Amino acid sequence: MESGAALRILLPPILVAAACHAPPPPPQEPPEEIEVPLVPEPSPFDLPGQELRSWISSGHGHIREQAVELAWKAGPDGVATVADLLDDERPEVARAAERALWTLVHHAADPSSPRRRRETAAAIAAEIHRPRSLAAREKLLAALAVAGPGRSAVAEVAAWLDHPGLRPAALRALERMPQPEAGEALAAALARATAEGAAAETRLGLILALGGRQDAAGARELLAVAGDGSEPELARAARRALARSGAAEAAAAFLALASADSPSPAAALDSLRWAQAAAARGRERDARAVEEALLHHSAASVRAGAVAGLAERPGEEIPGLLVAALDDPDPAVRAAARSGLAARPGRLTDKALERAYRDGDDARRAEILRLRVERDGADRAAAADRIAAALASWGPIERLAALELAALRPAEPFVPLLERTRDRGTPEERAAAEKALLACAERRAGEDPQAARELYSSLAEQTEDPAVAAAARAGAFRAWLAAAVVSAAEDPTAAAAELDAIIRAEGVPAAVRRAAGARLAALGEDIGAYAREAGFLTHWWLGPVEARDVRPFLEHPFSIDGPDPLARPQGWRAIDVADLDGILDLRALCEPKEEAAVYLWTRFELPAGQPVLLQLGSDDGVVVWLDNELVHRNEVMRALTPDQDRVPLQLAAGPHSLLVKVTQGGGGWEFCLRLTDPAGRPLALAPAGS
Amino acid sequence: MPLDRRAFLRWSAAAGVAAAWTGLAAARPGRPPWSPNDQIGIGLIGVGGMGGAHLRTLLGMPEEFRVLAVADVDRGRAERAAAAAGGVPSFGDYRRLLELPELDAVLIATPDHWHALPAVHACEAGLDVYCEKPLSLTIRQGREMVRAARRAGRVFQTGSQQRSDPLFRRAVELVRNGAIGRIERVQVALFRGPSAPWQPPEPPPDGLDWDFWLGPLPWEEYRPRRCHYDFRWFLASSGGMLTDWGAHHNDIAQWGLGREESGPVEIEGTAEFDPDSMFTTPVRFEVHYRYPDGVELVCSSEGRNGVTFHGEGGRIFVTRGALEADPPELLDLPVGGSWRLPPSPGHHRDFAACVRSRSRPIADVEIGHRSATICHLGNLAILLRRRLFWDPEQERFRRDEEANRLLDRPMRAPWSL
Repeated sequence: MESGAALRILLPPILVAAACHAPPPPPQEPPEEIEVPLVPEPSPFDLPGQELRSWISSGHGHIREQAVELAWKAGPDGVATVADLLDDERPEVARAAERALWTLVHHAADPSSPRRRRETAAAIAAEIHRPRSLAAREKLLAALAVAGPGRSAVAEVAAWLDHPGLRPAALRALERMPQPEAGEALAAALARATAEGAAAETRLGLILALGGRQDAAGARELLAVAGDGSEPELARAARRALARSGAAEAAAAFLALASADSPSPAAALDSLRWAQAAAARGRERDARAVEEALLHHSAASVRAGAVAGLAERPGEEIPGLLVAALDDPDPAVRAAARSGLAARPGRLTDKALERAYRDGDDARRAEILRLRVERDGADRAAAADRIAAALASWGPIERLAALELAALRPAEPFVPLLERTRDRGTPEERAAAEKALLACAERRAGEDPQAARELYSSLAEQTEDPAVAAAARAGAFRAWLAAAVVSAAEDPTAAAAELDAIIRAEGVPAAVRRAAGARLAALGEDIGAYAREAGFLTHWWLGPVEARDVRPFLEHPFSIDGPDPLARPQGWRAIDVADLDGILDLRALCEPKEEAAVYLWTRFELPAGQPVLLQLGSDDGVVVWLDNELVHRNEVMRALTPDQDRVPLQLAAGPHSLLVKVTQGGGGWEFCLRLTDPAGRPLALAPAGS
Repeated sequence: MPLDRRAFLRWSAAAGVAAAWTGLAAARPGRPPWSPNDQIGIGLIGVGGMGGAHLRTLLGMPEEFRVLAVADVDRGRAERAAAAAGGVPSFGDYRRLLELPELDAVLIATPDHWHALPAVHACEAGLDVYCEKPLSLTIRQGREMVRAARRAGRVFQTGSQQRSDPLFRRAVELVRNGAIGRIERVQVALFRGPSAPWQPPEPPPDGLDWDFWLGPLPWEEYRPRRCHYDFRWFLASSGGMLTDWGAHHNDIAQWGLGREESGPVEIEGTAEFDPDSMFTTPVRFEVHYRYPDGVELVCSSEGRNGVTFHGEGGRIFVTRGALEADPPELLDLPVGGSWRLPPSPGHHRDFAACVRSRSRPIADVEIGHRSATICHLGNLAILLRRRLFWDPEQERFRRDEEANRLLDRPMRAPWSL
């Protein structure tokens, strides 16, 4: 992203020359690979229009693309060229021309180049007058709306309002141009159209464009249309346009409308919209008057909007109005009041809420409690104090609210209060208290994992809810692991002992067990020993990797004739599995990592002949040869689970060899294998040897 | 010029007329408080690919929703959806659907350029809204949707369903609670944008109201791959991959940074387009965003799809179906901290619960707007080819008038927000 960064691309010689600011030769093929600056340095406009034309018209996409990139070098003179090509019958050329036009516009409209911008805008304006398709001229008008500075550009665009074909594009352009003159031009056109009795569609377009500007332009003309009852649809559109503008001229009209006995909901919402826009322009007092007038409207959505608007206005009385709105029969209005109170800063709101809390019944106090905690925001200490106080409230609704808040914003001081509630509260309170205690324990674990473990354990012992008990037991293991991790920096030996205890603990979640194993391995311990204890084979030779051919995996299994590692030891390497469950991460060991298969080989020795259960897991498919005989084959796409395939065998005493082929489609690529007796007990094996 | 009384009366009379052009249903009066057992009467606007999927979801939640009507400018789609919903009424014009008195809410799953108008109209008709992402076609449209929802006191859920996915929520909880320390950089990887061969214009198929489908867009001729689904690969009607997937992953990135109701202050981007494709959105792109505290967010079409938070103490990667950490045990240690998300009942059920409780949903309209905004900012930086300086408070560019002119796109009459 630095300006000096270069993009390696295929570029024809003509564009090589352009990039070097030399006169470009005619296009030639084929392209050659060179370095071109991603962001060209400013330079004189040295790209003749004829050359730009030939590049944009090229049948080669990469040439057109580079022409789009470099069109800025043609400067304002390039506008005529791209304008002509907007009508090219080849859509890809017309598209390239349009993009090149925008390259010229955006480069010219860069804040650092006002002169180039004026000249480019003038060139675009001139091209609109030349005979070409309406579509091309519309595109030029759109470009002028973005590029055109000052009054002259507005005048150029406004002149097209009288052109039936280009009027829609001119309207859109004048709506977008920020110059005040653009609004004045639309207002004048509306006045003229009204006086001349122009078609309703024409006047509607002007009204909508004025509304889209969202400024005060044309307020007088819009008021006149809005007050003309003979064309209600136009009147409605004008009222809406005025509402979007927030124009001061419409203040009295909207206040009158809002203060009427029963303004229609649509009219009332337009009044609210005007108030919103007027407030954004600094007319807070007028906005507030309109919103207050609508506080008692029959439509709930109007009342809700009035409350939401008032919440953003200044004034000593506003907090009181918002508190009063908490008693509105409609939930949407009450929600607006709650949101407003929660977001409104200041001591006046604090006092209003304090009064409401003091005087309120249990439900109101619970509601105010939630609001005040939300207002506390990042001030966690204040929120904690408030919640802690409410946990001891006389009101059951408030207590329950405090318990829910304690779960969402856990803090250490809650713990004794929550434990008391758990021991003495109603069933509903007990359940909420236990959830909050879980949250407090999780939070505590970030600071003092040993203390968190104790809290979790206590919770697991005392709860009657199986789900809470399970969560607490899992949490206790996580906290135990965290404590061991923390202690590893000071006393690695003690930490290793703790991690060993976690791995061997009954009921430890698999994820925690594996995380403990990873941490133990990081301390330099041989975690493969755990796997060997369970009967997993952990010493393997990793053989060659076969890339799969293009046919589908299951239709074309890999060859089952694996190489003999004893005969051809070259290319095989020994691997000691460092994993609790003897899992080999083949993806980390092999290339390619997808659409492939790999061979593994090992040996073991049985002290006596016996029935054996060969248990393995693989991701994805697997083929197994024992002493050069095929004993298992499972062509499958799956994730690994230890022991997912079981193969009963009768083995003689003495050495045996295992050759395994593990296939891989995509994603994970893993394997593990262990030998047990038929009851699943690990066998005593001699090491594989070399 | 204050109105005189006569003019005011005429104006008030006109106000009650449901205008065909602006087409607003009247705001409905207040309803009784919701009870937990009340079904939410809902109408679907847009029942194509995403809308059809939403319809099946809603029909599978009879305890929450009752589908009352559907609307689509493609008559065949509307009729099929209406039949699937048990023979409910179907409309070509969504404004007729908004007039149904028994509706409580609408679900909008139209193309991007048709989000703002029905959403604002639904709010003004007193309906709660679930609207697909990316929320808006332009930054200004998004702000108008927020204002409309607030003005009418509506519950408004954005269809950023990753916010209700346990993996993404866990990732954000870890990041927000400091599991990897101070965040230095966020990498968002999307997919590359597609290409397609040019198609010549042809008459629209029977049953498709092409002019209504275009609606507020400048008129153009029908081509099959300009319409359903592929609309997202045309800058006129969408923002390409940057808004399609960016609205999801950038949303998660800003959530993790605690900037979901704000935004970056500097944006710079580059892209590659396919000159032989009829699609107009970038194929490859890379956008760099910088936040006020110096954190950088890089959104790119390259790399493994997902969001990676790089902190001073590690790394967290999250995507659909996977959550990974470096060091890995971060995922198994307690989260710590006290920033908690309540359990999610799922994105649609979260919307239903908020309709009943009148609280803000997990992907409230302001958040949806800000998440769409960051994507639009990226596209603008790509198109303008220069570094942009953004004021997230004022929602305007600093010292760049041209860029400010691109914050919105004027609508084709008679459509207007």
